[in-house]
Amino acid sequence: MSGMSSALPLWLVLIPALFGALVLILPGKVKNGGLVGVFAGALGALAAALSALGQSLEFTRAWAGWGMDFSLKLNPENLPLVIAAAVLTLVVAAWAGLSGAYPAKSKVFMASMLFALAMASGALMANNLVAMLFFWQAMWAPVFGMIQAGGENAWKTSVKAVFTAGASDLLMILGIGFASFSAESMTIDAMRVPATALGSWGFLLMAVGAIGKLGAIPFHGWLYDASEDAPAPFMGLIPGALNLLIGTNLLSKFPGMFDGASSGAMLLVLIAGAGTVVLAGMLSMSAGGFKKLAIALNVAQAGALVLGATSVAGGAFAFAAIVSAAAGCCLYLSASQLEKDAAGKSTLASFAFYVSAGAAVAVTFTGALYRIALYESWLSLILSVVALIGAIFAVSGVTGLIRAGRDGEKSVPSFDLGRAQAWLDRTRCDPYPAARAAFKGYAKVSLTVNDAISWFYDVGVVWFVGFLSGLVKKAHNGSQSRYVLWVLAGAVIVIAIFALS
Amino acid sequence: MTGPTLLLLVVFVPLVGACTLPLIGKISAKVRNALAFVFVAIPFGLLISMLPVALSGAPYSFDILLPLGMSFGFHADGLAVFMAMISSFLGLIIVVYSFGYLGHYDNQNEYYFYVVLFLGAMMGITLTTNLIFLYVFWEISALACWRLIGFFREKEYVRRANKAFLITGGGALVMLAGFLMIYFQHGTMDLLLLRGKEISNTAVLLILFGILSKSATLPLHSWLADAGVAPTPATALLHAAVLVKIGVYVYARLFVMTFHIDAFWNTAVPVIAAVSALASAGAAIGENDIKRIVAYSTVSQIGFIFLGLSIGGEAALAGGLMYILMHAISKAGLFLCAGIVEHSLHTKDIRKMGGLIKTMPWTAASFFLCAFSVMGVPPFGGFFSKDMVIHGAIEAGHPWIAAVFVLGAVMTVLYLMRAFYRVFLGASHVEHPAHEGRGTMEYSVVLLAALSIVSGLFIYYPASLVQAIVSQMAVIIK
Amino acid sequence: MLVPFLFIGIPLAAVVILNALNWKNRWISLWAAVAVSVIQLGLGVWDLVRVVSTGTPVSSSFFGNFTVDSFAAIVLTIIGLLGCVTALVATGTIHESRFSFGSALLVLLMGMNGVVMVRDVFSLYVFIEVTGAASFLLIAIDKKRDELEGAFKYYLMSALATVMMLLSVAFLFVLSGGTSYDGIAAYVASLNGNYPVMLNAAILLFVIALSIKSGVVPFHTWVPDAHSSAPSPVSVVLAGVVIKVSGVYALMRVYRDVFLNDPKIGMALAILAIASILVGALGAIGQSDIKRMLAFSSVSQIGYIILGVSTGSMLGFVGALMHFFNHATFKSLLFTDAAAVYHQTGTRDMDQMGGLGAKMPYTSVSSIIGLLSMSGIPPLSGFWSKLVIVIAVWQVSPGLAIAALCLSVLTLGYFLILQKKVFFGKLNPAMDAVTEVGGSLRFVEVLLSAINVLAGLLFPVVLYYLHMRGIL
Repeated sequence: MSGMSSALPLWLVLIPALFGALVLILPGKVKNGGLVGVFAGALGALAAALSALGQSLEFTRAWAGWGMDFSLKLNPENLPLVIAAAVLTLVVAAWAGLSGAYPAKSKVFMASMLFALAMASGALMANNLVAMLFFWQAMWAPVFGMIQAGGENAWKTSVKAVFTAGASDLLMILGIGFASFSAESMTIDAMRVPATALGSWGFLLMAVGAIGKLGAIPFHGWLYDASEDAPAPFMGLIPGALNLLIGTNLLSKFPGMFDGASSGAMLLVLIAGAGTVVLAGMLSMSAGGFKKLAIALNVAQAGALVLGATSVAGGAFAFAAIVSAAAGCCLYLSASQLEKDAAGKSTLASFAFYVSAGAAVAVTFTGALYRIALYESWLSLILSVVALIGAIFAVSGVTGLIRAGRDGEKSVPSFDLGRAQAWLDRTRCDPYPAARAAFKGYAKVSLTVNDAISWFYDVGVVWFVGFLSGLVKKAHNGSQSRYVLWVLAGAVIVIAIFALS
Repeated sequence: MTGPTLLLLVVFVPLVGACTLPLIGKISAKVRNALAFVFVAIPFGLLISMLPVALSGAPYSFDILLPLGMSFGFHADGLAVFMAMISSFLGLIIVVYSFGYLGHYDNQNEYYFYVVLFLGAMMGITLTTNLIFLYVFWEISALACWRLIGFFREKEYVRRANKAFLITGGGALVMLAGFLMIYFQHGTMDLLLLRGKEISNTAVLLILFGILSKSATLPLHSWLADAGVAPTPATALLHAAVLVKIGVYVYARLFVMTFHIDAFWNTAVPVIAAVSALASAGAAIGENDIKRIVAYSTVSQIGFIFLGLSIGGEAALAGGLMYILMHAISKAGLFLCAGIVEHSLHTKDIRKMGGLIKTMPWTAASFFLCAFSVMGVPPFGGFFSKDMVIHGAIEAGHPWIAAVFVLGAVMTVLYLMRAFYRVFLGASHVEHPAHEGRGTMEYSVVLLAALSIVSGLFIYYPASLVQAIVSQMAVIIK
Repeated sequence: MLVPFLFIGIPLAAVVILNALNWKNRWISLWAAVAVSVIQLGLGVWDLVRVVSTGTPVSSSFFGNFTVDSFAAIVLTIIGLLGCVTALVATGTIHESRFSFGSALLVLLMGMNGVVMVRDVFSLYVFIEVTGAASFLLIAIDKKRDELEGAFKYYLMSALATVMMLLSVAFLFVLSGGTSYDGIAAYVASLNGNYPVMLNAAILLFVIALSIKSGVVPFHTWVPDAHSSAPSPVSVVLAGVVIKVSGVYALMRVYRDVFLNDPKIGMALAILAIASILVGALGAIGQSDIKRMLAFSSVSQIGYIILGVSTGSMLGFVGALMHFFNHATFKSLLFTDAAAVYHQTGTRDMDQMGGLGAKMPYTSVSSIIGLLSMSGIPPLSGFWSKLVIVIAVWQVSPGLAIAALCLSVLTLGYFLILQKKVFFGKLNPAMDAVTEVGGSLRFVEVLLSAINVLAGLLFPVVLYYLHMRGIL
């Protein structure tokens, strides 16, 4: 399984990263320097990836100790994904350049595109859990930077993106810890996590990480904000392409890494997947616009990918990953294009939109149907059927939008789900506001606790000591008779001590 | 130069040199500043040169036995040199920052005296071989802390300085009782002679009072948030980088490296640390004073360090030591950035800030980078330390404690992002116009931000160092 | 050997010469006191070296039996140092009564030296009375109302004490047929623990009497009044040596050499000591008069000394003696600082002060040194002596030792209160015209600060030396 030792995998990461650094230090006067840099970096990565066709390469170095090795592997299984990442980055960059939608002045944006590609490539190739985590989580900074380039009000969204990633990625760290401890190894293609309680938790929590990265529910809320506030190329690149690639890539490793997991853990993952599909389907029905439909469809396909997580491996998943990434990227870019020029609708953009919508729906159906075909238990069957229903909703959503566009009126969903739909439309099933409120409440409680402790020191102890010292002061009021009394009392005490000892 | 001479120089150059600073300062401020830098640079340089020997089997050491269980000596093993190097290095950066920050304030002689004295005491704490002398240097650091917190002499500031002195001093007295308990149990207080000895739980508890008070752990942490009234570089030195690390270092020195303590503490201390980490993280989410936020963050992060050092197992221990390094760099950076903002705006209230990224881009970027390191985001150094501590806890057999700390890590992201966006992003509520930091102040924070990222990208080097230290410790513990 | 007598003779001669002749320069009496003290300091050190190297105490029977053993030599040195310091402070602060002051100070020195050197309880009584008389004189030297009141209160309590002492001497005379330390000690030893009631009564009376003189709780009530109302240099000497010599030294000497470390006495002393530490510290915390605070603080610190004594062990004794020395130096330093502050600001009320650190740097820094030493903060001297005492007490009772150790935090408390109110803060506008003291006061501050710091740094060396000599 191990391949030839080569530095090429490392270069696949370094080339975009170095170009990214170059773009950052580029003086602002160089026009389009960022765009050129992105092209150069992505092309360089693509060339390097292509040169590894048909080979199995490996780059491993001792790194942070204690099993945390810097280990990258490039083989026919993940090479297509790596190539897809580079290609999609080029596509996004090209679109950005052609449509004029890219933030021309933002070196940070362009550099972040390259950093994101570098990190995504690293995550795809990593063969050590901590190395993978390193690249996976390292996308926070570029994501933040890219959303920020969207303007003055974009900070709320960039913060939300980081918080969302914070929740899922930090839980994943816990999961990685459980898994690697149970398996006594951190090497992805060599480890086998036993189906113990700890191993199952590892499975579940790592799945949570993947769910978060893919943008499945409940980690999808920020997508809506980002589609408004972030520059359009961001959507196409990150949630549309890179996130889907690396999320799916991780999920595809699960059957190899985990020697089964408790049925409870598996069930929860299935619920997450199926729930995402059906809720996303409902969201797509009331989308009412290209961007929102794009998000809903992407979330739906993310859910479908999660559904497949526990059993599909290798080639099939890689194929699904590439299709979904291409579909996602295309959905976001075309949706943004379509919503931008509301008048003269570009036929190319519409075509691209509906084709990718179709692909996304296809992926969704595939996931649901596959799960049905697997038929592990009646519970999984029910969930898969639910997912199927969700896929159908998604279709309805797409057709609804087509009809709306044609008839010029607001799309009416084919299925009326009453209150549930209304609730969903209102909240989008986004736990973010509730989570914020919860943490705010917790903050108040903590401040109260801390203030109470401070009160103890500042007021309580001070008062007590002052009280005691006040007693002493009162006893020394200068009256001689009192002093003589003290002496008598003292004499009594000393006599008592003598008598008793 | 012989080993003992080197050791004496490392400790006494800053201690004695500090005493000359007020006198020289009367003649020339520039010479005094330069000397302050030199007096800290010398130990740092010497320590670097000592590192290879420290990691070998025969570190530089000397020990003169005295009556009543006392002894005077220094022992520069890997752990000691590691801690001393971090402290002196950050001391250097902070001294340089001070040149810009203190510009026109009064009492500068006193400031430099106490800062250099403090660093000398820190060298003493790390290298000493005897519990009593540990106490001696510990209290010298408390004295410096007192004078530096109350530096601006407002009534409220002096009250807070007194509070810090009393809490840490009281804790230290209880700790001294613990030391004496050890003396009466084993007949000596010499750390080299006491290696491998067992001590009672009562002694451990008493000593923990000192450790927890110095390292600001709930419920003895109340003084740290209040101490933000010190001049910013002093705050960074004392409350981020060095003073609060005294407690965790002494924990490692005593309870990991020297004594055998009951396994009960492998759970009890992490639990205390967890409560402290969570409660202070919550407070940091709610606070509106930038320095208090960062101070509560320090209390919280110290919890992580305690987790690593106390839960048992080499991986966690390595994580704890790595955390000391990464946290010192990034947290100092955060405080110094906060200082630049405060220096420019004359306020610490984040509700009166906002949008500062436009006028202070370098400070904003530095704050961002340091914050991400504290949050534990790759590719910054903090990622590795946080990861190692959490995974180390799992490996030590405490997955649930690890889970609690992950919750703490999530909250770290919350409060630091909140601080960042309230200060630097969004709409501006600023009353004065703000300007970017000047001169040495700005260079210092940029350097620390750069170190945060470089330490992560080149993690191999700090990790190898920590590995070597842990191996050395493991040999001795066994 | 004449030398022990010289400690009495020289001050006596000086007093006679001063008062017999009519001197034009009224300052001469103070400078004479300085000179005599310095001579005493020198003689004390010389005697110490001699006694330690030969191992035998030095005696003289010229005009009474005076013996200087190592314990006495150390105390004589301390008395010399403090006499010098007091006289120097007086040159800076006493103006009108300076001539009488010098004479009274010399008499005081003579009295204290006598207390230290005698070998029988009746002479002890005599010299304690001499010391007392000189102190009353000194307290009331300016004849102000406050001072007279303070002196009177002191006198009353002292009278109570000396009456008890005299009674006890009488009992001891009856019981043992003599009044010499050795004689009574032999008698006590021969009883083998079966003490007749009269002996117990004698012991009780002596202990209570000396406790009153030492200012241990609950016999301490005169201390704050006497110290705060006395003129500046008198507070210095009172707190620095008088209480300690006529009270604590006598107690130590009698407890060890006469009553042979009787455990009943030890127990009583331990309880009184802990009470002193606690009540003294609490009393100091609430004060706004700087000298009253320092007076209560003396009560507390003397508690530590007595605690060390009460253990009955050699280690405790050595610790107590070390703290005796340290207390002399840091307390006199602090009272000197109080004198400086009082003379520059005109008030003793700390609430009216503030931020004097900016105007009086020498006083401020020396007060920090003195207070750190008092609180037992290393590396200053007070820490080491407290540590030795705590270790000695721990050998007898760990609980008591821990209590004594932890109560130190109260000392830290009033240290910080004093600093905050007086020196460490923003300058009080009313204090704007204040300047630093000069001349002899500044010299004394610097000298005593240096002694505190050096003693602290050299303490481990002293411990090492004692270890080599087999004492520890």
